[in-house]
Amino acid sequence: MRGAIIAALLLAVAVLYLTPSTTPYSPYNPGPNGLSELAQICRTSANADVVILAPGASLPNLNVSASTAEIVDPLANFGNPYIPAAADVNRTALAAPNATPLIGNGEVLIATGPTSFAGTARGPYPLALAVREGNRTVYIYHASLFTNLAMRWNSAYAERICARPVEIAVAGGDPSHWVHEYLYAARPWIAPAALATMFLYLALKARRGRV
Amino acid sequence: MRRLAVALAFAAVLALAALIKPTAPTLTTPVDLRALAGMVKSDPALLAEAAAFLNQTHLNVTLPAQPSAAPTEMAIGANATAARAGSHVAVSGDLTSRGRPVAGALIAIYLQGRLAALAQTDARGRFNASVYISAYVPLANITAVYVPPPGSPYAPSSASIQLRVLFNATELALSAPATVRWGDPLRIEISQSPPVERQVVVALSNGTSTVVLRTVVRDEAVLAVPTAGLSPGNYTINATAQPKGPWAPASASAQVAVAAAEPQISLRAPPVLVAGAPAPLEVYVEPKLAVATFLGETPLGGYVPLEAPTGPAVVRAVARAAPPYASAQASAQVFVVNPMQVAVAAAALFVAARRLRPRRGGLEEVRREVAEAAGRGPLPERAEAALDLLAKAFHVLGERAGVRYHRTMTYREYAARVESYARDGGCLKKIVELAERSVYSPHAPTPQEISEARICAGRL
Repeated sequence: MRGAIIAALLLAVAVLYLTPSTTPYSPYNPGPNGLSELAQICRTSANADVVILAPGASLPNLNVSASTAEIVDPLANFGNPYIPAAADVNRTALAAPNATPLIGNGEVLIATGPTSFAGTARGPYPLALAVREGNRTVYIYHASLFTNLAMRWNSAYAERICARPVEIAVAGGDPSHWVHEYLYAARPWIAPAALATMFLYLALKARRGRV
Repeated sequence: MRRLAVALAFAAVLALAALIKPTAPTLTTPVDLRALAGMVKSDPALLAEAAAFLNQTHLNVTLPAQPSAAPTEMAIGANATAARAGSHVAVSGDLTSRGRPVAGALIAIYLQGRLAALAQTDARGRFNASVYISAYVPLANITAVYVPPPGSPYAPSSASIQLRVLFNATELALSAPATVRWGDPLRIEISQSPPVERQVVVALSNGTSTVVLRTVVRDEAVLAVPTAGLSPGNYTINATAQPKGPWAPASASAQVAVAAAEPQISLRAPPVLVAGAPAPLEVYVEPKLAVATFLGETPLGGYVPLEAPTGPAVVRAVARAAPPYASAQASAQVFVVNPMQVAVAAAALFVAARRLRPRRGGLEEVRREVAEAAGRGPLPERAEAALDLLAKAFHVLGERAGVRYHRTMTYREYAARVESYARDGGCLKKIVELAERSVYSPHAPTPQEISEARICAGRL
């Protein structure tokens, strides 16, 4: 029975690994609101200087969070009020589908237009911040700028920020998301663990065969 | 049964996984888009701000119209057919739908495709706007576009007029050396004719980054650009004289190579590095530059990172660039041993070896000890069978008592020690006596006796 449960768990992990995540802004989600295209062109790393922050997620050490109040812009948008236009410091237009304001102190790198609204409060709202932490600067971008939907407009900008490793901070997640996250974190240990498991399995099998 | 258990367990795990839904936050959205559009239209200052935003970002005002929307007609006119660049032109027009004025409509006015102004129609469907002429072409298009807000019953429409623009052409010239040593100032000479005092924007771009400088030029100016902040490589210099009133913009470009000297660097590393231990690397750099070492992409702070995986890896020494020297790197192949990872595999091997080694005190060993204690040569088949039964009995009772049989004990001595662990002491005694008789008596046990002893052994 114990063997059956272990086999079932391994099979479930394999199935979850092969199943795409449905978590919004997950790098393992290939849907329009996922970040799978960004994950393909970027090198992800924990503690990177570039952070992609999803709505509801926060960076407590920098005192920055992404709100859950969706921004709409009835005037300056990409064909849909729910895809508000934003601009960087060089006034390059960027699409921000289903964006929410970033909350925190820092230099604003990207902001929505003056006719954007979150609730009934009018923008512009920051979608990217540069925050000093000790002797380093952390660049925080809202995940909506790099969803698979937004990449049709913002891919050139995404390639620029992917010159450095990025960290993707997502709030919550489905089992597939977490299986991918844990396996990614455990990748240095997967080879020795698999070796150890194989040895133990063969040893137990040989022992049973002898008796 | 086992397969059914696997299937049930798998189904249970998948069901649990399916029940756990993503816990991502739900976004709260403003529902009344029409009210928001009304707020935007009713605030002239906000409209001007929005126009500036759209102009800077080169975006158009785009909103989808309803499929059943009523068609609209636009008329546009200006107070002049020709205007000087840098001046304002009054643009006005009407918006009607099936002959009836459309009031309160937002009109975007574009000059040569760039948003120039936003206006709103009055109760008679009339709009007025002042357009700053910032196009330097002989004939400029002025287009008024009606973009209905979400949920509007009207369809979009547009109308255009042409305006003759009067302006003065200007020329800009740029001079820069073909090559400059990295760290030395780059001297850029700018001249323009006719002389007009205005801002010139100079941009140095290498394709990935751009440095922008601004200066005011009348007829000639010299810019000394420090190159220490630039990356070595080929740059394109673009100078653009900004338009000023009737003076048209002008631009010029030139190429320059920022050349860096190559430092000498070499790296010696031991063939094997141990995770968590110091990394004894020898790096030679000429001239003296700051050097950073990496294992793969991970910086080495004198020690090999504890999380470095076991296996082949590349160690790199990177000399940081310092004008006039470019960055340089050397690399070496090493094999990293991570003691923690090796320990896991070693522990597995150890456990495997322990499990695979013949266990002391096993049935075979007891058989051997019982035969050795008999000290006789080959015995008849039935005598061997009696000794085998005794060995099995001693093995079973030895496992229970935790006392192994050894050849230095007589059969009776050992039987006395483990007798209390037998469920049927009489049976043990009977098997011992049969074995003794088999070994020491010339009369071999009968098949009947062997059979009875076998049944008896089952009761132990």
